[in-house]
Amino acid sequence: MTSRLAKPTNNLKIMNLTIQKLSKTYPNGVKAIDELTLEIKQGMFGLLGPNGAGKSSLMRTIATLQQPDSGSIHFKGINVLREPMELRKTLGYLPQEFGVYPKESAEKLLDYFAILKGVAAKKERSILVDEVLHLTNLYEVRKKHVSGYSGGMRQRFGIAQLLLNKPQLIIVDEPTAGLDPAERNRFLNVLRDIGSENIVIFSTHLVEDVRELCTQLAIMDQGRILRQTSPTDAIKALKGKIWVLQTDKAGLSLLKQKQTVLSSSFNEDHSLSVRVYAPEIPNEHFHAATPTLEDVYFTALKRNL
Amino acid sequence: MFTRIYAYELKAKTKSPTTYLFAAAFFCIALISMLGTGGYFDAPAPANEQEAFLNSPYAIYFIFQYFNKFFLFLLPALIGQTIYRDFTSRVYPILYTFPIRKRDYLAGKFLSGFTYVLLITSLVGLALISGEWMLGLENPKIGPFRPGAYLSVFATIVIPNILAYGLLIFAVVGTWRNIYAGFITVIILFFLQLILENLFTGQPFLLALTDPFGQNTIAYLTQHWSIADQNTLPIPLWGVLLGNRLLWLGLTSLACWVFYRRFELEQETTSLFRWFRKGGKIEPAAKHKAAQVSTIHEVIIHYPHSRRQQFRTLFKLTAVHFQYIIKGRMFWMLLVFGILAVIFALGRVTDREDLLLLPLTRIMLSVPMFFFSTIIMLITFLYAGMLVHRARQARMDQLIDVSPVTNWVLMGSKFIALIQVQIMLLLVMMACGIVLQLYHGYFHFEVGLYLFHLLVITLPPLIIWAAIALACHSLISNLYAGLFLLLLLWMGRDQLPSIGIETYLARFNSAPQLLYSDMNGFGQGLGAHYLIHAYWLAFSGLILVGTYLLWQRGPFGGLKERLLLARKRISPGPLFMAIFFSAIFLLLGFVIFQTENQSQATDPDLEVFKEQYDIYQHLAQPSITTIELHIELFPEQQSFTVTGHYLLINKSGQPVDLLLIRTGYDEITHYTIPVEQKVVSRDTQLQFTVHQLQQALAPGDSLHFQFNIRNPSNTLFERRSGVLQNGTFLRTDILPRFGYFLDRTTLLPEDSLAKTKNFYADDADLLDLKVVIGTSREQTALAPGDLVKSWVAGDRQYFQYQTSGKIKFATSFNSGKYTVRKENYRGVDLGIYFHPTHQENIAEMIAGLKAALDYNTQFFGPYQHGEAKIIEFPLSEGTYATTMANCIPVSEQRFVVNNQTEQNKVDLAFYVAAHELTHQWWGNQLVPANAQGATMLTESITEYISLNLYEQEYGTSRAEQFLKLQRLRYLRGRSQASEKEVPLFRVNPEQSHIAYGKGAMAFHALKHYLGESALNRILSRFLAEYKFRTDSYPTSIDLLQMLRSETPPALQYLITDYFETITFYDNQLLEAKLTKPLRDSFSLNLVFQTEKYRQDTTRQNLVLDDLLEIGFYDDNDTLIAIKSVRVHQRRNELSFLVGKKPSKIILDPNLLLLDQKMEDNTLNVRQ
Repeated sequence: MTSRLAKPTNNLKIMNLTIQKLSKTYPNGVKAIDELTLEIKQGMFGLLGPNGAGKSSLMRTIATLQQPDSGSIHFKGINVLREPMELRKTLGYLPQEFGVYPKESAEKLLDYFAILKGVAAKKERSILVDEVLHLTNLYEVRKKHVSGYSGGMRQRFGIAQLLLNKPQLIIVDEPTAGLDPAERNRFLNVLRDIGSENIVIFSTHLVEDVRELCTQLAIMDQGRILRQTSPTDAIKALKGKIWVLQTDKAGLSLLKQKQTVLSSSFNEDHSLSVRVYAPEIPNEHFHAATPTLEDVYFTALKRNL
Repeated sequence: MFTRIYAYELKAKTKSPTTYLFAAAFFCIALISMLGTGGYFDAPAPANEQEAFLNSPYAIYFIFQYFNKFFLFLLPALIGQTIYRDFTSRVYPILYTFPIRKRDYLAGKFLSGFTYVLLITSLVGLALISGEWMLGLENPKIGPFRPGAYLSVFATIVIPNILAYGLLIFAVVGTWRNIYAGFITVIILFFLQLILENLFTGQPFLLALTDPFGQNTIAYLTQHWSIADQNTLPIPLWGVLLGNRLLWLGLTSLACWVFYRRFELEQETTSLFRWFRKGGKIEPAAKHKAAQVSTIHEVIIHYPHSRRQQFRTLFKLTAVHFQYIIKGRMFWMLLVFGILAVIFALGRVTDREDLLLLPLTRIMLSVPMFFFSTIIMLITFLYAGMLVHRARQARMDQLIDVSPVTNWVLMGSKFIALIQVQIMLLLVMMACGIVLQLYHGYFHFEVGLYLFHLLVITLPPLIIWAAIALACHSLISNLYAGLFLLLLLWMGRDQLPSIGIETYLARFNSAPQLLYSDMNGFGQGLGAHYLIHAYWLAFSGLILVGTYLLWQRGPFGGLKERLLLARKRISPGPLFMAIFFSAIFLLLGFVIFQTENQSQATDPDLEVFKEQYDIYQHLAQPSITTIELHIELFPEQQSFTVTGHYLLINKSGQPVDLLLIRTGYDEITHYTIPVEQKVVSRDTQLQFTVHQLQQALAPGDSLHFQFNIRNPSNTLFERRSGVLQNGTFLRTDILPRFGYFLDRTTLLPEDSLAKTKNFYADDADLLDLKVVIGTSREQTALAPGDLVKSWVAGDRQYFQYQTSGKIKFATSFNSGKYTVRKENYRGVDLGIYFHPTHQENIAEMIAGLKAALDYNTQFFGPYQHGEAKIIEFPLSEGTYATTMANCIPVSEQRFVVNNQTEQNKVDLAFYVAAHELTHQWWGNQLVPANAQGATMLTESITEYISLNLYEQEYGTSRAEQFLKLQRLRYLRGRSQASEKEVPLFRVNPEQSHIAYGKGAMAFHALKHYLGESALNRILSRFLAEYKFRTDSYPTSIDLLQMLRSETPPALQYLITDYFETITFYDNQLLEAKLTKPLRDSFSLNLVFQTEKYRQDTTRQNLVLDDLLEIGFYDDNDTLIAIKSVRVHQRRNELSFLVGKKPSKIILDPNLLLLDQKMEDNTLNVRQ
């Protein structure tokens, strides 16, 4: 198999990732994935969900690092659970938390990863490593120990290593956590570059990331997919159903009993702006509001809607 | 705060399963080894005269020294880990911001770990006490329970060791923030001990003071203890032991204090070694640069996910792992200390106390190799764990686990890297050996032998360990638990024989000890070695398949998930491998099982035999008077046949109607008795038959006895004939003998019956021997007697030997590819038959033969044979030298001494030749009676003459050195002997320390007072009276009578003290003061005390009327004068006048008196 980096030659075929009835219960009794079914198409896919929703478990399972109790995963004709090695050839994975061997430079580590990913020729490896270093803007610091990198550089190193085998399925688990805004932007740009022609599954609890990046998204909680949609469709669907009210703390708790409160935020005068979901305007004190992706997220979490 | 941290840490450990694993393992091993040694699992053994107790203070110290090595491995796991845990769990950045004082933090951590180690060591004590109790007082190996012994071993050895090295390891782990450094520190401590042992060879006090574990300190304090002492005396705690403990506690406390001062509760590692760190910091300039689009040329990258590519990845990863190991600083530290230790160890194996060996390759490969391969094994345990856990510890495992690398590449690369490291270390060992040989000016390099020994003999067990270590670490996610299990396996497998499991089928990765001889190589044992290694290699193959199936990929998700994954991974590949390895394993196991059963003939039941046959014990039997043998040796097949004929004569004076015949135990013998007879009974196991003769053999009648002998066919594990491919050494025991043979009692020398039989054989007095011996064409065969003729027939060569005079019944038959050195001296053909490369000592041996021939001929009469032949035999047959008529078989060990000897070494080659040839007079011409004291007549006199020869050849000072060694031999032998000590004239056959050591001193003292020629005159008279006599064999009493009659009354006490009793002196020089200098002489005032005592049950001091010599020495240790005084009381104060200014005084410098402690006999003179 030959290809150029991040540009698979053969992309006419639809490369969907299909997950069916996936379940996983940990030995301690936590049900991390619960009869989950999901279809992911080419492009950036955002997986949103609160902490503990099972995002990481799902991603680890797709990344062949964990065995589900039941269910199946298929990608491009590969039965992932049966032939993990086939998937690994075309997989790029960046776990939520990772480390590297201490006292090793980025260049050396990437060379090591390139060996693991099956690049035989030394010369090809060095070209490849240079390329991913440029792509992730780490070329200048390639001789430095990765263990001494800042958070953002380390995340970019994570991307660099996953690009080495020109993956068609890329899984990145909460990559923007802890990054400063500039680093976050830089990181998302890198991701956008590689995302257009592959499947990139991107988990986050920041709605912002998804809005900037994703063509599809799913909202997950307690091991289940609550909603799968695209950002524009989702926002469109909420049009005319989101309302805002200025109130105070006492008003908020009162409101929570009657209305579906999505979120609230303080204003400068210490009053509260409360966003509410309702098919029609609840009363005249409310103003109509433009739906945001955040509204989509919170509506989804209110499962009865 | 301290108590909080301490309590928290203690509690954390109660939750860890490893704590219980350590505790249970130590308890069980201690208990089982105690019970096993006490014979709990075997049938009760008959009690010897004096058993060493298993629970004496001495033994308890010994046992704890053994466990000490394993306690040390607990230190990183339990003490180092307390601090290491905070680094790995990454809790330290939070923790260190808390308001905790450094002192509380470190003390709490250290003491909690220390408490646990102490608990586990106490469990070992408890196990030993339980073992004592279970074995019970009725067990001969158990003495009274002494709680004090346990307390003192804990106070002096266990607690100081765990405290001292606990502190050190705590500091090391805290400094490097690395637990492996702790383990490596332990290994380096072992190296250090070895280095010190070698550095201070010959300076036992310094070694006792500096041994890091106190092991040699105890050995030093108890070196002269007899078994009775060992059973009763407590270990002296003050003095050198205390000094040693304080020294090491001080040193490690100092190290820990430096660590404490430098340690800060901060992010960075402690700054002790800050200058080593590099990289890490990023210049801010590089930080903010806009992302730029790739400008790389269009290059096609290949991802050939083929099988071939997997192999390439395997080798690349192997290289990565290998580099990781050998680039580590810890590895280099290990290597440097390892090389130092090996160099010191190599130096010591050639440097024995009494002699210096040539730096032969086989010697380079013996002890140091054993030690070094143990270290390589420990390194394997450690680095297997590091390779397996490395990715997880760096939290890089998920990145690796999602890459398209198969498990067998991941596992295999680690396995191969470990083997590469092992090979590299083995080659380093070889380089050390060769460099050391060069350094000693020895240029006979045997690279082939090195490589064979290292790569074919030593490597396979290490590979097996590598496989097991890899399996263990990958199955057990806790590094310490994995490491400890491996240590347990290593420790436990050596305990198996003590609980009755002897089969190699179950003794993991153990093979019988191999012995290499320059003459005969590894011999037969090699086949068994290959077989057992192949068996365990197949086993480790199987283990690796299992490890492959269970290889952890991704975060650990419980056992269930792991098994599920394993089941999924079962595919034709692994399945085939599993079946393949199982098949080999079972097949080889079956072969081992069969061979073991074949070769392990059950031990004959001597009790049953005695019951049935001891009625024949004193039955008269005919004597062998003439022997004719035709021996065919087949070195290639390692087999032989003998046809032979005895002429038996009934010398007993009474008719003999029962013939008791015992044939060679290992051989198949057929014989014919040419008269009417029938078999009365037969013991096929012990090859003993009783024949009833129809017509009794009248006194003086003779009988022709014909026989033929062959050996049973050899098995893989066992060579069942004495024939070797090169260097065969067959002895008398293959030949048929007559009479009851068990419990041959050595009679008292006073017993008149004793003089009727000789010391060597009941069924022969002196006899004639004719031998035709055939061997392969390229070998020379030798037998007692002078060569009559030799001829070649086909591809075989024959030699005919015949004795010209009578010999006693002790024969040897040798065959080998020898180089021969011959010389005719005083009408005797001297010959040395030796291995071609063992040239170094031939001249010395010839000198020894000549000296002995000269001296003995001069004083004691002519030599009785036409030839005297020294014949080299391989190490596998022993390390001794002996005399069989005019053949002197000498072990190859004695051919390889380094004759560039220093002053304080014995020239063994000269000594051996002189000693053995002297036996022609003292042992062969004079044949002692079968009584206690027989070896006083042979060995003591021979040692005395050898000492005289040595003095003639090498001068007085080296002869003195020789005498010192004889003294040590006696005192040490005494402390190790299990038999009750007897006076010299009653010496039992096995008590060589008395016959040689004390005997040499006794005759030397007599010579000193009587004069050499006077003493030799007495001996010569004695020999003349008993030479070749068979009607009345001489006893030690006969000699003593003659000595007494020629010794002046004032010296008679010497005979009583040295020969008839066990008498010691206790001399001590208390003061030596120069009084006033005269014009040309110096006046000296000496105060000393002298005691003479015998020790039966208590020490009894004797009345003194004894001579004592006092030596005066100047600044250069040159003798000024020796003055002899007669001492009458205990305390003496005397003045002396000497010509030169004395600076040192020695009481009894010529070692004429037996003083157990010579150290206090010397003083420097006070001005």
